[in-house]
Amino acid sequence: MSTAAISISGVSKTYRTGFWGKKFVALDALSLSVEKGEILGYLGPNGAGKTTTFKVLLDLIRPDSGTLSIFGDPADQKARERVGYLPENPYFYMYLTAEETLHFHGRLRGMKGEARKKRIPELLHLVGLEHAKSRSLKKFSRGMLQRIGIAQALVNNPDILILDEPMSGLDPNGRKQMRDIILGCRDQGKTVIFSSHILSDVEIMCDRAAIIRQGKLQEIVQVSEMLDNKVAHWEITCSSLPENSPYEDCIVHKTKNQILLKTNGEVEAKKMIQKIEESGGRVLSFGPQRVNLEEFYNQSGKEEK
Amino acid sequence: MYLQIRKNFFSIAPIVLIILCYSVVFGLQKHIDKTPKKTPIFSDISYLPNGTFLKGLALSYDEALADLLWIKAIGFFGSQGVIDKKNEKLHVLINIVTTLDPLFQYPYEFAGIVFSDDSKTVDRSIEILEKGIANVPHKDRRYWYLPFFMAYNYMHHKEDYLMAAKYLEIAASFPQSPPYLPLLVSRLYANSQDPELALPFLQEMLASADTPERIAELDKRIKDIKIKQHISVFNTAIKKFHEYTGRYPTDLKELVGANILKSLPIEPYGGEYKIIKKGIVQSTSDVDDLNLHLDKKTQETDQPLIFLEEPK
Amino acid sequence: MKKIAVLALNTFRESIRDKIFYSLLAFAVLMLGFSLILGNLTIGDEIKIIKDFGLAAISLFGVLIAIFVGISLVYKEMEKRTIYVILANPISRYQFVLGKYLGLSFTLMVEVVVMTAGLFVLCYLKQQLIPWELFMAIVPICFELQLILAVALLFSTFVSPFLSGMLTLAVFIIGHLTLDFKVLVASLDNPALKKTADVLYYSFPNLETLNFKARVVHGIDIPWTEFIFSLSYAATYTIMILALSLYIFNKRDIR
Ligand SMILES: Nc1ncnc2c1ncn2[C@@H]1O[C@H](COP(=O)(O)OP(=O)(O)OP(=O)(O)O)[C@@H](O)[C@H]1O
Ligand SMILES: [Mg+2]
Repeated sequence: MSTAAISISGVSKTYRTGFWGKKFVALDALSLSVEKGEILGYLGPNGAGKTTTFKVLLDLIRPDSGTLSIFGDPADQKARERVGYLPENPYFYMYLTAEETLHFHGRLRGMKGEARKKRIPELLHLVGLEHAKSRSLKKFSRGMLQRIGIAQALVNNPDILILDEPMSGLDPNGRKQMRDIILGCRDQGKTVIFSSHILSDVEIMCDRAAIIRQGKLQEIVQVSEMLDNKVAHWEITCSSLPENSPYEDCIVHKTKNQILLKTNGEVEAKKMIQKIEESGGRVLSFGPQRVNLEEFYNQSGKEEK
Repeated sequence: MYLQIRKNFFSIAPIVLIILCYSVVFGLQKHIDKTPKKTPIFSDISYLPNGTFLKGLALSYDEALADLLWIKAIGFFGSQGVIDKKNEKLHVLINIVTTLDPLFQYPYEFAGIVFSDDSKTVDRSIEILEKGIANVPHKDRRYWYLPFFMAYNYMHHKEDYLMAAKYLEIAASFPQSPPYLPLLVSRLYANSQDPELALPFLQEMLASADTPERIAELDKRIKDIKIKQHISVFNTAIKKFHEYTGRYPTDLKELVGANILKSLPIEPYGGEYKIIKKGIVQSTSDVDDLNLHLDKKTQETDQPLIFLEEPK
Repeated sequence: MKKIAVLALNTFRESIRDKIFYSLLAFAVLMLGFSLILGNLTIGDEIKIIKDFGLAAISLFGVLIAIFVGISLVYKEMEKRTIYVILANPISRYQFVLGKYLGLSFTLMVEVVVMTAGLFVLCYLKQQLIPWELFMAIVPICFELQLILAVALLFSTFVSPFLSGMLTLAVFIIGHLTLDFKVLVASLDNPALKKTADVLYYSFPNLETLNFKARVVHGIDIPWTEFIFSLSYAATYTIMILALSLYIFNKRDIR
């Protein structure tokens, strides 16, 4: 059995909150493994337990049961040497400058002086913060903090990256940079797991996507296979619909001049077009739509209910 | 396996360390306590600014500061055992405490009693008690002790029986005061020189004494007064004996035999009373001079042990 | 070990950049003003007043800093969520706590050194003599500060800064009063009260054992054994409190 980069098996965590220690199950016998060299997107609605999973992995939170391992070894202090972590909304010591922050983290990861001196300018360049390297973090914007966060996670060139919503707070350019960084990491053979609410990002970058709901793993999607998938449905845009047509149910979206219709089979769609044209309507566009992650995501949500 | 041990080690090690440390701490504490500190806690008292100045510094926590100083003082004088009556420190401290919190009754009472032990410091006692009488609220349960001990000072040390009676009357006007006070007042007016008059005062002091040393001291004073009083009874009896028989007794038992005394009083220290010269009685135990002029005048007494009876 | 040093240095840097050292300025002004005023008010021994107030100020300022900064040591990290990035590094919880503690304790010691220097300068100006013997009082003050800091740290691992501030202050006050309380109660005839006093006495640090101020200022000889025993007492107590903080912190979730 080849060892996975990260393997989580049967991990449960119950939070106790409030004065009476009211219980809340955040993770419910969660099992998940991330293979070496892959990028795994970690999806789930707010409060599903994504952040909790990461914290358990990093030993910030002690699970009630289950085991966690990194490259086959227990996920402890030693294992963390090979992990870089970007928390959601990273907070740093505001009295440090960008450069000092990276040096500080480098030291905490046991990096030698020369190694740091070489690595840190590279990183600052990578995340586009060269111009602000000696500004104190107090004066950083939200997105700049996010950038310093990813730089910090990469400081000792770790084998595994755990990124909690890496795209949040970034400008369009920053998002692209972040995407490039993550993809670049894969090219270097690193393993990445990141959580996100932006499905398109996951679609573009990930090999697999895991969907978690209420602390339980719901589904693992092979993203690349999914994109090769057959057509999911057809979409028609037209100017008007015939009166009393049976297609009212198919309407997805309607504006003053345009109506977007959606149907499953190709034959059905052709029939629809015919009907529309017969009644004097104009078809503006027509084409197949492939399955996307959103569909999967919403579907698994519906099944749940 | 190794990891398991490692994990357990890190969860148990602190507990072991805590227990270990505590035993060391406990041992050291015991050891430190064994060697008594030579310096009095109040070695610095004379440097304390006066109370009025401190009052400003206390930022409205005057009373709390007074209490703290007071607790320290009690602890200090308690640990010293015998109170050094000539010591300035108590005086300074009481002045500060009573300036910080003038309504606090107990310091006045405490210092009033302590300083009244000696005729050299009695003026301090009077000064402090006066301050207390002026400041302590009248509804304080122990207010009456202040004029009461003031009366004792005037009677015992100053021999100013009129002043004593005046203060005693004030004390008697408080409902918490013992019922025998009015009687004491009238007796003070009538027979100012009765040594027995000091007894109730001393007994009250005894009731509020808190250290064994102080209790012993007051006990001794009470016994001494009893001896003086017994001797004055003997003097009366011997005079009567002389009137009737024209001679002085050689043995005190003769007084009982002649039906002048009902029985012989018991010497409080366990000693004996003896006739040393003609007509002069002395106890075998030593008696401090109480500054009372006992042989000026004699009178009858209701001391339960002794009955003076008219001869048949 | 190296990582503890990194964390400690960073904590020290934090205290410098957070301008804790401004309090030193306040100290200097306060001490100067006070000793000048008091020196004029009292007849005679002005230098004694300066020493008394200097030592009192060193201890008081130290305690205030230890409490105010100590209580937020761990809790602030959690509240500001800076702790996630730190603990996600390959460091253990005990390294984190010790690093924080040592960093602040170093800050405190620097403060004490600066304040002591100020006091010595003042004494030298008045007397043309440097009162080296004051170290006999200042060293125990340092030990006391370390102990208070450990207590603040202990509370800050599990309660909010406000509460831990209150609790630490309470420990400080009780720690100075238990001896008096015990002595006072010993003369009373109340077994229950005596028991309470004993429990208090042995469960709170007895900070009075570290108070050599009066004796030092008056030049009374202090037996070396007593001095050493008192310091060992404080050091052991500090280690115990630290171990307790580690134990608690190691068990808790960093949420
Ligand atoms: N410190 C905490 N105490 C109690 N409950 C918590 C705590 N932190 C998280 N939870 C609960 O645990 C559940 C999972 O939280 P988690 O932060 O893991 O969600 P998430 O998937 O990261 O959500 P989001 O997408 O909003 O970041 C939530 O329902 C939350 O209410
Ligand atoms: Mg989250």
